[in-house]
Amino acid sequence: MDTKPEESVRSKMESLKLACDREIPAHLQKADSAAAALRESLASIRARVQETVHCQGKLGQVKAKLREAEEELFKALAAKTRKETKRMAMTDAIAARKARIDELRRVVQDQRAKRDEYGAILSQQFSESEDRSIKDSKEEIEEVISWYNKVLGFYIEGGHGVRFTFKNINLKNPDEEFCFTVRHANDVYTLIDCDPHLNEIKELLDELNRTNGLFKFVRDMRQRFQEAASRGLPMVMHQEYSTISGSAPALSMSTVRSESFAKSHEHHQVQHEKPDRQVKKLSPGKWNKSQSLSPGSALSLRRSPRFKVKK
Amino acid sequence: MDDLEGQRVAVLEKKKMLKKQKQDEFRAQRKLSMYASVTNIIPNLDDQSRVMGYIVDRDTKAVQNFEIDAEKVTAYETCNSIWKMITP
Repeated sequence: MDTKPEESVRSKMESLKLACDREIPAHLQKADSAAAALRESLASIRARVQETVHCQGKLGQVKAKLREAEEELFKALAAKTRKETKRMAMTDAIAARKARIDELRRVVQDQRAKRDEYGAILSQQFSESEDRSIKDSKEEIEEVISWYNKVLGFYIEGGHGVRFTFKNINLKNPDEEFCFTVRHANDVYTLIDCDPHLNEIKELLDELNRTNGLFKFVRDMRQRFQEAASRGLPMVMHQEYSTISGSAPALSMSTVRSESFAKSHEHHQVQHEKPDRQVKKLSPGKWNKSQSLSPGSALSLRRSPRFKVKK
Repeated sequence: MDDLEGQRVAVLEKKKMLKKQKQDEFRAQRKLSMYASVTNIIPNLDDQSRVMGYIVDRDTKAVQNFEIDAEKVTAYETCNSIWKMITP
């Protein structure tokens, strides 16, 4: 009885061994393929590792570059911020300038308007006609004064006193000048100069200071010159002149000597050959009050053309 | 603005010049007045070939015309005849 189970186990074992023997090559093949796969895998992993190491090196470089780039970025950002701030400040300044320009434009417009307005006013005030009228007036006055010089041989020159000069006194030499200078100061007339000297004019000077009649004094002095010339002009010694007080005439004589007088003091002597006299006195008429010979009326006479007098 | 400033300066100069011209004119008027007052004569310049004018007597307010043919008498005679009329 005991041999049968043992045989059955043995057979089972045998069958199992056979089954195992059959499976062993398959398993060996699997193990080989697995080992091959593992080797391939290891090689692949090695390659990847190498690639990874290489990439890590690159990554380090890139990181360094990145840091540099970041630093540059920060710098650029800082610069940009500064520039932005500056730009904003400039924008504000430009806006302020624009506002100022607008304001100045308005001011300029106002000023231009005022300038035009003032220009118009000034051109009205300082018109050429005013210049012309002053010049015409002066020319007319000079023409009339020239008449006195030429026709009457009479010259007046203001300065330190007033100098009166006469020509046509001496028949032998009509161009010979006879002159005297009278000064009025502190209500006193003083004869500063008399050329040629005349005798017996103290009375005239006394009268001048007493009556204040300068105009008559001048006429009388001419007459004295003429008398002296007709007598042959005796030379006299220096004489003292009267200093009796008197009030001033209408025209003050303490004026500064006019420079223009020297120019107008020209020799306008006209000689004529015909000796016969043709002096004709015309009928006298009434003198208008406004045409008296006071300085004020002389101005009104000036305005009338050629100093015409109404007859 | 420069133009305005230039105008202002020009105006000031013109004003100064006008003032001087007026002063000169006033001086000339005073001188003319002295001539007329001393001689009592107002000349008439209408006819340059004749010596004409008016002798004014301020006291009587009378005016006397005179006329001299300048071609027929010498300047010396003309001058003294007129002075005689005003210096009686």
